[in-house]
Amino acid sequence: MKTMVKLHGTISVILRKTLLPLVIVSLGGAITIAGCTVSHTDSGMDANQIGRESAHDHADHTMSSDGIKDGVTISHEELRIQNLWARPAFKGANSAVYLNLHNHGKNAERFLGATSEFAKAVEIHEINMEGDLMIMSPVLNGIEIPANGSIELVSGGYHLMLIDLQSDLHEDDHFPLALQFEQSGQVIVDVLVAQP
Amino acid sequence: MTRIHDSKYALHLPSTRLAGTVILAFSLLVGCTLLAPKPYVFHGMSFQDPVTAPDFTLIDQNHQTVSLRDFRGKIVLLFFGFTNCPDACPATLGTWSKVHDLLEEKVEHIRFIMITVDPERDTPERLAKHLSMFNSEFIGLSGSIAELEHLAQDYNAYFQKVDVGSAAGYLVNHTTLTYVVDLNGNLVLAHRSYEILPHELAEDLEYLLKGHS
Repeated sequence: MKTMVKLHGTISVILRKTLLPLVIVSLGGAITIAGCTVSHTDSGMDANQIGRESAHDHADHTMSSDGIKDGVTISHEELRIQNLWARPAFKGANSAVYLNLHNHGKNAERFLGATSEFAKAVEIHEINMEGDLMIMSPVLNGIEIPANGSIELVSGGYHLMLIDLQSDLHEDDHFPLALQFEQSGQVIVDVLVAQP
Repeated sequence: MTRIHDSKYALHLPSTRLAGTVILAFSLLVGCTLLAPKPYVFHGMSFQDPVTAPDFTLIDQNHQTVSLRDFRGKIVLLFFGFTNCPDACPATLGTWSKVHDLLEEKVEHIRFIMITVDPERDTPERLAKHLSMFNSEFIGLSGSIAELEHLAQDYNAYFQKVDVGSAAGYLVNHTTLTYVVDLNGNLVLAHRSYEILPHELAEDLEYLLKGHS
């Protein structure tokens, strides 16, 4: 009986010494959460929603900054052509074609431009930003692709401007485009119309 | 023996209380720091001193007269562009199109407006056709050159016709900012077309929709 009392007393002390602070901490935490929840609930819901949007949009961002990642890769002699796509536009309007060009050769190549039966004219254009002012100008003598080097035609930089479209270009349409190179001559490619 | 233990406990009670108080205060401090919402930081550029967005009255793609004040109580996105623009303008409208989808039903509180900087070629019909390739709810506005130049100046925007020998005829160099007018009609944000991502613009708009500015 005496032993039991002693044991009971010891357990009681241990429980009080270990559990009391735990209870206090838990209560503190509960009070904290309760106290902070009023302003947090609102933003918490939005954070979830924005999270879904971010995940949903991630693929779009990859496309808009780098062109179409899964686009067709075309190899022609020393050239590799990737991320080829065009913006949708209606007949009589203008569109833009974007692509990456890689020159595997030991000599520099020059990209001279393109032609297409789907546009009255095709010109290489360059965008330059002066602060927030967008300045667009034609590139008259083509763009050099260094030996074993690349050039990128991407939104905000170079693009092929399709002028006066001869028919509507809708998303998922394809159309042929003849690219002109100084060394490699003409390379005909199939361009996908996409809304990045 | 029990009493001895009890008395020992009693001796330690003040320090346990002190420890408990410290832990409580600490957990409150840490908890509030972790759980308190951080101040929202806009993805776009904030105007340091938001002003009432300059009003205008122009003609939309349906030949209807439209004024900015008509949209008080809505958030309005404004962009100066033109339909022959092959890159910056469709990039902006493409971003808006994504934002429109991301905001789902909240989009009824937002208006997307492109103001042409090429009124000579951008007839209401051409604006309607162009915008319908992105979203038929987008609004396209036009007016006289003088009206549009004056309006651009009000927004510290700029555009200029240039003849650079393109088969496209003249081109129009222009600023590429999307201006955001809040629910109270104040000009509060500007986003750069080539930098802002759809989900970032959507987040800024969602924040503004709660009545913040």
